[in-house]
Amino acid sequence: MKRLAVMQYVSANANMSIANVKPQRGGGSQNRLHVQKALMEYLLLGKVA
Amino acid sequence: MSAPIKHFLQFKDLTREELEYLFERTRRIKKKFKAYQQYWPLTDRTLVMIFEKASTRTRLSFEAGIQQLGGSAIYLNTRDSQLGRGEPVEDAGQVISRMSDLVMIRTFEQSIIERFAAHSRVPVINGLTNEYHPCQILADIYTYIEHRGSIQGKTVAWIGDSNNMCNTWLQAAEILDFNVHVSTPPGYEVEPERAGLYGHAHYEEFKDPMEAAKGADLVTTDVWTSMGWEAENEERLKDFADWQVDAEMMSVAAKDALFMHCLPAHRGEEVSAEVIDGTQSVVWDEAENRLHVQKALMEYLLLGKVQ
Repeated sequence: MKRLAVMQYVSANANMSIANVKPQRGGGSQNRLHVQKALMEYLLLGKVA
Repeated sequence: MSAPIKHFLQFKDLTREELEYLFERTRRIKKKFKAYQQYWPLTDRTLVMIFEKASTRTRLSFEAGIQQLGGSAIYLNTRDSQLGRGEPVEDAGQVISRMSDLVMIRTFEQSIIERFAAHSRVPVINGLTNEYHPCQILADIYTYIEHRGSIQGKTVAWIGDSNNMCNTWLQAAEILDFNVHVSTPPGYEVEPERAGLYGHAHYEEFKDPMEAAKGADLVTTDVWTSMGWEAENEERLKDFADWQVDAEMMSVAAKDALFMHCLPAHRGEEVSAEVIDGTQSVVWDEAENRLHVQKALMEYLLLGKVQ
């Protein structure tokens, strides 16, 4: 559970603060990552706070 | 204001000041590793490693390195990625970098990694291209510093093919202010433009490898047939026959000269067993230091300078 707590605020591109990158619209491929993370969390843990 | 993304595609992507910082960080990170001291500055960061050529040390050192820093690695080989063939390399750069925090690529032409990096939103590291091998030279120079102190003003003798290792030594010499004596067989000479050099001030070419080795502080070589040139193997065996680093050659170098080889080595071809297994050889330290310098490099590219 400790690792999950960390993951809740860490994402890919976590280094964007130092990497002069502006968030882009329509990041379809990137959103595959994020929705699948949410899906895996839901399938394994159910609804979380 | 945020800083631009920093890549490590060629040795000259880092300044002398940055390299000196990296070598000091390497020393500290290695010390922690040897003391079994947990150090996880890259928790939950993901490194994607793309290999279009075979690898042992590069995969091992990057994968172990990112894990030791608290992150994780994903390995993609040619079947999974095929940069520029399955999809445009620019598209691969966009997609892969949106799902990861750092990318390491071993590929063929330097232009492939340059194009990937131009479309990446995360730092990209060169894990070897036909033209350069900057991570290996980071390890080599760190190894020299560990054994002998600063490399500034010293002489490195490069014996053999003017390949990606040779090119990278030449770039490093310009930045860190040391000299390289290069001796290649006729027809295999340095191509300054391909090596990405600013000038000729830091290297000299010798027809006779014994002359190149004379007085050198470090003698180094590589296989006669690099990856991608296997079709020329028979011809190269003949062409390079007089370019073996052996005890006679080491005897004309400086008394305390070191021998390095990035491995894998072919004993009896580019180096004699007596030299690579001898007292002047530091090839095992050199191999181990890939791990430590690359940990310092990943930390720097992702976090900038840390206390």
